[in-house]
Amino acid sequence: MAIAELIPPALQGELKSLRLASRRAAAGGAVGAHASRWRGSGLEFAQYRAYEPGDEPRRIDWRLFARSDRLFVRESERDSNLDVWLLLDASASMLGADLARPGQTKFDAARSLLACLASIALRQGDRVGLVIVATPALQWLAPAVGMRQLDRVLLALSRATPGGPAPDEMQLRPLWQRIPQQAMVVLASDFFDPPCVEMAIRLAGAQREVLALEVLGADERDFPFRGGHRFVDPESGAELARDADSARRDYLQRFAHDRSVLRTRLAGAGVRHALHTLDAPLRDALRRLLGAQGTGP
Amino acid sequence: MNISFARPALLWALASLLLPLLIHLVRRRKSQPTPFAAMRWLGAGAAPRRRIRLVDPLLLLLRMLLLAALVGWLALPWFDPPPAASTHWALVVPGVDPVAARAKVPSDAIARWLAPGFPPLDQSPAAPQATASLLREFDAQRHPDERISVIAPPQVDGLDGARPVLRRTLELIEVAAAAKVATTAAAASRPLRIALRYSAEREPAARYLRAAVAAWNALEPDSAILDAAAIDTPLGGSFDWLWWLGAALPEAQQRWLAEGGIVLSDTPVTDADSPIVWRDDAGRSIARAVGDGRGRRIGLDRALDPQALPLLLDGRFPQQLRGALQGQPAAPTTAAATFLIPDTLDSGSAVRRPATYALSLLVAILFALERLLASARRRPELA
Repeated sequence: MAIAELIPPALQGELKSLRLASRRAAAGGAVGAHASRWRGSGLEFAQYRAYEPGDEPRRIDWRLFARSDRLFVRESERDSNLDVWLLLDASASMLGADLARPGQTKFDAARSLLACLASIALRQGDRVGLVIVATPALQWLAPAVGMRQLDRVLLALSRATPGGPAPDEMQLRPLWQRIPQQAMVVLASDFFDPPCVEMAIRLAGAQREVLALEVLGADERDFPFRGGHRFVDPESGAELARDADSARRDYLQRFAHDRSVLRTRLAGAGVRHALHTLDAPLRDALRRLLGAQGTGP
Repeated sequence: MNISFARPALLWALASLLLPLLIHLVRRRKSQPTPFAAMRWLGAGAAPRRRIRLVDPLLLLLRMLLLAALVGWLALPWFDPPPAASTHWALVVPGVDPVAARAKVPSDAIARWLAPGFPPLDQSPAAPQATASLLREFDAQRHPDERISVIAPPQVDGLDGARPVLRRTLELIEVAAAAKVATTAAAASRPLRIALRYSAEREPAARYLRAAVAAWNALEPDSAILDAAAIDTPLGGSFDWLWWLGAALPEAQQRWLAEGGIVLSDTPVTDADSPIVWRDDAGRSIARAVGDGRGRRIGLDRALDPQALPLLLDGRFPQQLRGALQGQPAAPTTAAATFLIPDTLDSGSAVRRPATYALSLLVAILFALERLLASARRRPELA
């Protein structure tokens, strides 16, 4: 997947209106390392930007207004130590695609979503790091700020190749060591593998703010197959011959049940959750993930 | 209208209709595996059901039809002529007494002369024809269900040496022949008269010829009369063959030869181009024939003594001598009328309209349709 394809052009404009907000910071109550995620309150000047309705009048630079007859708002670099860690599940199950859209895998959708989030976060001035959760070893991109970091993130995302089984708990252990407390963790996965789910819940329970981006194929949700099929699990390679018509009801029931259990567990652990299915536009999932800020349990 | 096939055994090829069906099922069985990441939620209880499901029944049907049409086309179909409500035909062989024949025509039969065009009986009786050939023609034109009676004299001419092979058996009604046929029949049974003249030194050779005639008579009593005498004995009466062992033919015998006689002499024919009429087992010439006026002289290349011609002592000599003189015996064309009745029936050949044209058109149309449909459906098969 080329770098240019990671963020669809149609979404570029949309990203400007989205913000990645830390629930802890925005809630205001948890005053700690994050004084505020908003720009403007610090001493160190960062940039001017055009006035938007809603900006506090005291933040308008009146001298500049006198010179240029336009309203500008002073923004300054804030002391932010909010780290955003993007975690991409690269197990083989992410290779799944719908019958109707054979080229578009879950992995591609997850990459695009994470690229959008990286773009949003870096534009806000957050530090963004990337972990590609692949089997032999996790691939790390250390967090940093700035637009050059966006290029590095996009490059790493475009080079990632999915495959192999899901990592087990031992392989996931470095995550604990590297991801600091109070960091924001966005995990894009299909959450088919229990270690992934466990890790998300445990991270959320250990002072990390976890956002779960669940990426599913529409086929996995609807099971549109007809007739006999030899189903192959891309992770284990196991085969299962099933008559799709007779297996559908049972499958849909079990799958829906497990998903609802999963979502309940994630919600119970305080994990923000958004579902993206391959037949829906990426924008909707982004909005659901980011639009729910401040309305947590 | 019935359809019959010239090669009915080829219809076994219709078993090839199973071929597209088998290919269809085999290809279905080898279906591509479906990658499905959520496989673990597939219940263990959902047993794979084996079910014959036709993916493209129209295309399959079309292909099977195409095969069937091809097989039918290769089996050479014919349209049988429509059965003419069991007509009864009476064929009158020319040469019968017309009045007697008319009286013998069965009441339900349509009477025709057995002559080219098969004219009705009111026309004048035709001359005797190639009876067997006409009979075959009429037989082939008629539906096998129609009956044919033949009204024939006891002796029928125009046969071809064997019983005709027809598609049905015949009913024979014998009628007295017209007078002319009777005389020719009588002429055929006249004994052969042979005059043998030999000089004194050829007397041993003449003995072999005498013995040959005796052998003929032993086989068929009174079939030949031999008038054997010394060379100076005058020839009396009429004779069919003259055997002349001695010097050159006298004037009178030369004339007889030129007028259509057949002469056997031991003076070799000098003309090397003359046809060899008698060969020994090694293929060497024994006798050559030369034309002389309307007659024929057969000259022996070798002397009639056992040293030059060992065949003289062979039992086959009489028969071979006769063959050399008569030429190869033609197949008998005249036989008793009962020989008209076939003893073997032909089931295959008949003058029928081939149905191949219509079928080849059908094959072409089916093929075009199949191609059209197959290319229209050649989209990526997702199942």
